[in-house]
Amino acid sequence: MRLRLTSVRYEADQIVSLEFADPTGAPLPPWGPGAHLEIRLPSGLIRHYSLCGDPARADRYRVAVLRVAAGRGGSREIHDTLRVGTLLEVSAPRDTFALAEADHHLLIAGGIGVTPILTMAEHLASRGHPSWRLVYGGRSRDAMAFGDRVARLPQGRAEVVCQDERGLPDLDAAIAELPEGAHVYCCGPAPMIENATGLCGRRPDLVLHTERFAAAPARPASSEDGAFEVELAESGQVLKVPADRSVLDVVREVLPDVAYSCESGFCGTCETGLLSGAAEHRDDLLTEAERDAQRSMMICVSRARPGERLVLRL
Amino acid sequence: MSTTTYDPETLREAYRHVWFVVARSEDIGTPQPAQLLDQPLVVFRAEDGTPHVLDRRCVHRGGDLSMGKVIGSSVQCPYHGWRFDGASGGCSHIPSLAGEGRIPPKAAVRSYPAVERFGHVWTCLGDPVFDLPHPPEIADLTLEWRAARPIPAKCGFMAATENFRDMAHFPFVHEESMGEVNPVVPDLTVEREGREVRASYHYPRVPGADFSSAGDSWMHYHSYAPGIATILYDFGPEIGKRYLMDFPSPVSYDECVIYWAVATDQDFTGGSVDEILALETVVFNEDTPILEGLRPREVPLADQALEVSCPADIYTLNYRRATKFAVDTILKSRRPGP
Repeated sequence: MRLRLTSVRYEADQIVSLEFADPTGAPLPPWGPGAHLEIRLPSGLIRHYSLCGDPARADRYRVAVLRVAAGRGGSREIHDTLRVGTLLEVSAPRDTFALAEADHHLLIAGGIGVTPILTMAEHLASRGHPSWRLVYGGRSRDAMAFGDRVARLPQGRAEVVCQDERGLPDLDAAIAELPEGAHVYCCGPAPMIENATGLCGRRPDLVLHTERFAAAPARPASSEDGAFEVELAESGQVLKVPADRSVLDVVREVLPDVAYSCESGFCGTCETGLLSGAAEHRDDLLTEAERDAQRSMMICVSRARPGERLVLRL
Repeated sequence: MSTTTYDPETLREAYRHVWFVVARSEDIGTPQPAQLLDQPLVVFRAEDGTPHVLDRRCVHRGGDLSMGKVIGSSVQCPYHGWRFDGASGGCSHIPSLAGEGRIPPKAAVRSYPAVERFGHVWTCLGDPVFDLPHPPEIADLTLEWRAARPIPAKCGFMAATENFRDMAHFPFVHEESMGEVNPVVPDLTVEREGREVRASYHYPRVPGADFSSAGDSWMHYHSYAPGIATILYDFGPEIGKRYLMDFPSPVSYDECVIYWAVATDQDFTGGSVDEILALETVVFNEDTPILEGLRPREVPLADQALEVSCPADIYTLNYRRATKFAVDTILKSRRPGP
């Protein structure tokens, strides 16, 4: 649908929120916490942004956008060139991160990841849900949007952690104290999501929901990654994967015919059975359920979780 | 990851448990031949209106039942007039028998379930593992349907299905009908769950091209692997919505009939349903020669051929995974229990 940009508002350092309305005043399709819009920018770029307004208002949508100077250009276009009054092509809300019914919810937001998480918190608060918590981490108070809305949440529910004051939020403790069956929602930078994924991985009774704004960027090996070992089940060979090389690189030295194609984690050609050990998945093809099952991995981009040794069906 | 090999034999066995189209509803007033997964079939409508699917070969002397005629709820063999009941496949009448003569107990052909949906007749050779879908995105629409003329194609049905899911071929295969489409495929968020895959793709009007003369649209792709590919075209509130469904059917491993249909919502102002059918027919006719030139002729799910992919293939790569999921699910359900 074609919607008009009716307001751009400063929310925090490098963050603006945008409001859209139907040019004829028609009501907009309904949405729930966690939903996002696909917005086509005047340049043709298509970007996804979580809705962060009030779901009860059918006359407007609101999203918040962080300017990412080194990004792929969508947020720069919004911050630097988009004017109120512009008509934009906007999809109906889509829900891939919906809030499930649960006895306890832990909501974890990092930076701009607060957008879907905050509406979840407000939803739980407005329904008087008795058992939930919000952990909201950010660089500094100036860089964290919607402090006013977080402050209006019921007492004791929300914990705001500014990195320049207290460091990173203690997810370890927050997850460790969760009751059985709790649902964890996490939206934020990749390291935070990976951290939450790792911590929840040790608690099979929890249900983890994560959302990234774009398809997870395929991350080639970098020096920040640790070294680990893989075992090839058929030969029993154990190979060391150094921090700066991929599993595929190392495997190809001993199995030159191993199948691979894109080397970026999207085509699935190098999918390899995982007999034991947990992988840190960095591909674009596996679903969350397939990631959690830990039965296979794309060896061109994915690595071992810290401390894991992978046994591959090779 | 599964350890199945998706070789042609395994796939044929699995696909016996999937619903496929074998005829258009409008064509079965007289018995129609069909072939599904190498099995010759006859499809006909009984006099009471019920559609039926039977094996095509008469068990008496091999007559072709699709050349026969409908008598009541049976189809009559054109050779000696044996009649086979559409529902059970049992022989109901042998004209050459004397009054008290007994119909041989083995005089029967196999019968298969027949369901009509989307203007077509669907059947399943084995026990269906997945229900025929009710796509939620059209649940609230009031659609007028047109079943298109089926297109026989010398390519596998998965290759045909995949073609309908491919956005990077528009400016090349459909240069005539679609015009100068931007060849760059934007980042797509592809959602896959089980055998279903979804993504939305914004398709701006291309000046001078009939295909998009109604305006800009969102193309909402929704696939039900292995063989149903749909697009809901949303042109916005003023023009409305139209719908396209493709359900290629496997005649054999590397041969198919592309059955497909279009529909317009009641408020659609971008053309009549017949105009949309004509416009999409032009597009389909551009695809067929390309499909028939593919080598191998079917998607090499068992890695029969090396293929290199690029990020624009993310939807079709997900379709392939969904297809493997469907096959795995079928094989698992066929395995004897513990």
